[in-house]
Amino acid sequence: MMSGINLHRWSAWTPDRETPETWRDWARGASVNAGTGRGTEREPPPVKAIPPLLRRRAGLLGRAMLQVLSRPEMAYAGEPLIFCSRLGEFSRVLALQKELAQSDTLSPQLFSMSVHNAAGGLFMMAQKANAPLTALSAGAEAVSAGLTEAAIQLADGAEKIWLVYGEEPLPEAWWELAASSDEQTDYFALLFELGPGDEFTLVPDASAEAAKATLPASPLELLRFFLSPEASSLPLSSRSHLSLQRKAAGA
Amino acid sequence: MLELIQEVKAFIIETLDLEDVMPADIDDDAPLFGDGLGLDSIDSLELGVGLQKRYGLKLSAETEETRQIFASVRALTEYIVAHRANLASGQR
Repeated sequence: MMSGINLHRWSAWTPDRETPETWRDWARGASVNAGTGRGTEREPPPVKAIPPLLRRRAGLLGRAMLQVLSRPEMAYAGEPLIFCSRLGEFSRVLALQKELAQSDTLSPQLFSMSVHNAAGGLFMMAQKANAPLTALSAGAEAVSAGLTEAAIQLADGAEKIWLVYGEEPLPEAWWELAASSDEQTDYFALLFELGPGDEFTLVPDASAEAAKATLPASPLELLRFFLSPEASSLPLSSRSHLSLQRKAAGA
Repeated sequence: MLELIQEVKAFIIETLDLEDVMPADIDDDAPLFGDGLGLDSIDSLELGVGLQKRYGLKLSAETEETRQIFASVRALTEYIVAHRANLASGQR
């Protein structure tokens, strides 16, 4: 399989980084982590572009996703959306479980908004759009799953795809159960507008470098790869042996 | 009654996370759903659960009576008052 994609535009948010400049600085830095976010109270982004009656339904991760989706410079024009998250709004699932343990009545609002396509649904309602919406929960393989889905939709004729990644910090109740390999991250949301092209290619990769990659690429590693012109290849997954390769300069 | 109307408004705002809405913004007699406050079906379910937790009221899901109870803040408040009276005379 060879699937060519171009990156048209991107948008990213964490509590500490809002502007493209701060993200470019981050991409040049040593650590790919956007901060752990553990035990820190975080202010959600204001997301003023989304009407209050819809916005109130979104949790902090949902608001982070809505923030990158509704930035004026992105100017949504009905592109198909793909939402990828490993755990989604996990803190809401935890709140529901606590509620269930204490009583038999669950908050309908929390329940309806605890699913992976919640933020996408709110965005579509705000935009009055009816474009295709895909929500993927692929565990640690979210990056390769999202890019594969995007490549498939582009190969199938879509002119543009909006690919969205987002995670929130693991709730405190899970800290001691988290494997050391579990990504510890602050809230983040990333949006990539992709189109067909030959800038990047999704290729099977049986190279030694790919085999060495024991951890699947994280969404933040994908952003860093996109922002690093000198990087030629990003191993995505040790399971699917997929790599994202950048077209060599002048090739 | 006036005091309870204010309390019910605060209850609605808190239960439904109505950002940027103050009790004074809600008209006592305006519809809660559709044109008035603009609430939707998930809100009606959420209010139902909230009424059960806060006031011990149990509403049936889709009846004409439920529609009337949710018609306005005043209608909801009157229902709560009536129910509390029942509680006072019947169970206490």
